[in-house]
Amino acid sequence: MLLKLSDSQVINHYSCMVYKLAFAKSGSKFDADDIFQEVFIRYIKKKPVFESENHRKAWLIRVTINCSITLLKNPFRKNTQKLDEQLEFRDKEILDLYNELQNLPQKYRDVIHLFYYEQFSIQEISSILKRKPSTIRTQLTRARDMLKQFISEEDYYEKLQ
Amino acid sequence: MKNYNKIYENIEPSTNLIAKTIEKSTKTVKYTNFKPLVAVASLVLIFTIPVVASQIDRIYQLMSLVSIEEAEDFILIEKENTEDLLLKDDNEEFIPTNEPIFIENDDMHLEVISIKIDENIAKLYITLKDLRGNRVNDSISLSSFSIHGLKTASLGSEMLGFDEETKKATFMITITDFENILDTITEKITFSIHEFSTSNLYWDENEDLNIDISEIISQKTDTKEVNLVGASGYYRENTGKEVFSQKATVLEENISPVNIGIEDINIVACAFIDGKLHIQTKKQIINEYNESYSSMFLQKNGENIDCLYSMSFTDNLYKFAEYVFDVDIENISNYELKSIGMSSGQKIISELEVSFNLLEYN
Repeated sequence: MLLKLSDSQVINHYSCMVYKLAFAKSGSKFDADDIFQEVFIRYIKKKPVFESENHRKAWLIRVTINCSITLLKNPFRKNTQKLDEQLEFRDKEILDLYNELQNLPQKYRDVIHLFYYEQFSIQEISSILKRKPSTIRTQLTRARDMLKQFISEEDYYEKLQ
Repeated sequence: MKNYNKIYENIEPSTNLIAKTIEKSTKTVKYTNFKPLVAVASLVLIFTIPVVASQIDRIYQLMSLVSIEEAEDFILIEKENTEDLLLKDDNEEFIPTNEPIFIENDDMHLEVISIKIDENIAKLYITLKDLRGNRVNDSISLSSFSIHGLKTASLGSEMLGFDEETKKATFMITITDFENILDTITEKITFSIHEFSTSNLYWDENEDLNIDISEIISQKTDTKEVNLVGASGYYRENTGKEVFSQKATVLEENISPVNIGIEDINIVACAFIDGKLHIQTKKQIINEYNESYSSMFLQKNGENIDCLYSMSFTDNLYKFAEYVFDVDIENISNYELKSIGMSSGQKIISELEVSFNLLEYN
């Protein structure tokens, strides 16, 4: 079912999802701010037609990832100095995980985020990211291997089934 | 993953950012949305001016042959063919070229069917057809192409589809201009294709590959020195050598060839050296144009284990790759061998060049 939402309602409704994904991809709040604005400006400008709320959600995820890639690949970024960000985490374990996530290859970050945070299935991630399910599974496995010390055994073995 | 979720507990857009975005977006609404205009214009042309309509129809048909959803998006923008939206990057509209842009050379027909410009990125939708044979097929890829007229730009290509009936392959060429002059450049730019390859074979984690590593491990560990053509992974860290030093020690062939399920790639050596598993593959070099890349990895209990590093070398007739893994010798039977890669069948050199003015498509 597609909800009748005004543009500002859509922004409010999906703001957290888009922002968190943009942050997951870029690892920076400053970048996430830029990506966030770009996604919703595209949404308003292009006025896509959707069949359902899931369809709208998937579109926003896809565009968030595209905008993140565009921003991160911008050659001018190489010449800019990253601003210091004050990210506060309650315990060291979380800070370590955050630091480890920054070392993950870009292509694994969205997969990890969509799987663990947004709770999408491999099949759903595959259709959103336009990658084969086997590729998603492989990327997820490799990413989890890299993050192994931060993932509980329960999460590690159970989720992929 | 509880800790992962905890990271995102406090990652939220500020109310200021949301307000600013809403404010910006309401201003953005004032932008002219050309989609309905294109749709209406197209319909009017089709139904009222047959001569012009045939031109539009020709483009529509071309597009629909390879991608019906793209064509429908162009003709009936307002139609709710929404499931196709996800198939595209971000629901971009399709705008056909103002006039036919094509070239025929070496019995190849190259045509630009649509140009779309969005800020510093131009997307060209092109079709390629072989007028005399079957050099264009569903496994085609562009191996060498260029753009002239932009000083600093990057190029990418993506094969969108191949139509069996018309034998046309459609590609999207993405031009990223780093000078941001796409909306001001008045000179024509030229897109050229120099080489493409066909009959390519792609494989991705060949699921049925059923090679029991423990059965093919040889006790022979004779080695030889070769000149490397490349290395990947943690080669330097594990060998203490730079790739540039060229010389490397690899296994002598020590087992009967074991086909890995892909054309002519065989495992010809497999042995432990200093506690590390070395697996060497050999592929015949078919001709000077034949190119391939492949990668091997192991799986244990469904988990992938990448090699520590790999080395590649050649002799006159064969291309070799040796993969080195850090695995548990005692439980080697628990490992499965997997491979991904691509092998190009035939490379075709064909000079095809089209020129157009981007300013018309802004």
